[in-house]
Amino acid sequence: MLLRRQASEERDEHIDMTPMVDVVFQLMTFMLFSVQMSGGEKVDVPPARHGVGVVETDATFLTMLKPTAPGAAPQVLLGNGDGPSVTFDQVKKAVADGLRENKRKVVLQADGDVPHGEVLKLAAAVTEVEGVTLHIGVQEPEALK
Amino acid sequence: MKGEDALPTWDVFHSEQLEVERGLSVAQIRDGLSQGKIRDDDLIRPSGTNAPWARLADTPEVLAPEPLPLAELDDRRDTSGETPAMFGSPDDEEDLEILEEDLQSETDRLAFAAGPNDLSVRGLSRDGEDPASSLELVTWDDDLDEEEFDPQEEDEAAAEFTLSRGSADTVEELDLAAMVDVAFQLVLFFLVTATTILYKSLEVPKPNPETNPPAAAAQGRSKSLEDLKDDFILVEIDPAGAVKIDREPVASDMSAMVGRLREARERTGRKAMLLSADFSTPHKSAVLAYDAANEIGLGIAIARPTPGPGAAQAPASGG
Repeated sequence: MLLRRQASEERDEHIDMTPMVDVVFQLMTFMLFSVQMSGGEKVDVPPARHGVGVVETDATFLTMLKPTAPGAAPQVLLGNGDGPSVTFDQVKKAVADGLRENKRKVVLQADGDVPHGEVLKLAAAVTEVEGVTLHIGVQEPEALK
Repeated sequence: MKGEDALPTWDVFHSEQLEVERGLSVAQIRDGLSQGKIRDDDLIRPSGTNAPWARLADTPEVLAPEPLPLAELDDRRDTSGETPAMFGSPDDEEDLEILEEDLQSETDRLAFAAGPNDLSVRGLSRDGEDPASSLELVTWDDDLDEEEFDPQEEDEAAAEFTLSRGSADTVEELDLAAMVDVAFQLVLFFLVTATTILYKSLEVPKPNPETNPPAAAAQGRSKSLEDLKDDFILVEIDPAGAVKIDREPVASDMSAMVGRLREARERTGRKAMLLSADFSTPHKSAVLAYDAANEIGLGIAIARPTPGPGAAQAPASGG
């Protein structure tokens, strides 16, 4: 019919944005589902129900890996498992440097199998630097008991 | 010569009702106009043709037929008189008279039939050798119409044709550009906020920084667990992860520990937990105790671990 043809001719003058909108909303949906708002810890930190979120840029992160052999000292890394292996002195220096950058929190991301005493030794070393608060890294429990 | 039944009829498109009424004679159209059933804005075309629709108001041959002036007919007759092949013998006055009468009546009838297809009385003087055959030519001829049909012309005419009123060029489509803008803003927002990662953590009190060996510490400011038992709910965890609360074994799961801690707090009024774990106790067992204390809002104190059972040093307090 004539009227229909005329209408389509007019519509052809504009770019049809409907597919573009569709794609954008698909992207948004994908991001909504794929984004993980919590950090992906490199070590298997213990689960806990209660806890507070610490922004990565607000804290100095230290990682304690599981001892390779029973009785061996656990390895301490700077950062979230991707930093260099450090000694306690270097840990204190890193914490002091972080404090100068206004990072008043120190988060210990210790593997759940690390001996409790080793964690406390590292915590004691960290708290030798005045003005920081100590946090133990945990993760969401997969199933609440 | 055709009779009255050969009068051309018209299709009328009622633009308000969006209906087509076919085969209306001129008289019927005029009646409809006078009664208001047909309006000037309605569209009209000859019946049985593909001629483009035209407004009734722009079709004067239907509204007010104007008979061809006799003078013009006379001129034609004179012209045709100079060409005997057209009308036969110029001396045949009677034939001419008849022709003139026929012309006049036929002109009256056909004047309104002349439309965009250029059917006009002029056709009379072209081919016809006798008046009758000439007049046959000027009646509405579908074959003639077919010959002149040009799809290109029809398309152009259709492109110009619209049912909408002059000011009805409203935008029928939503402008989606703004929507796309907002959607991209949201995408950017999510991209930026996704980089702000939150790490879940438990705040714990600072342990006593003193790192003296337990043997040395035991002589100094250290207090035995027995001394602290009145102020703290004592939670002990052995290297295997077995939990004791106030020296009594408890299942090492969250609900059991929370229940026992709550009971101990209500019974004795103590507001803090002292965690005394072995040095080699798994970190996750200690975190379980922290979490249980947080569940009921207990303060947390951590006794310095010792490699074996025995005295603990002064606790760090917090919570």
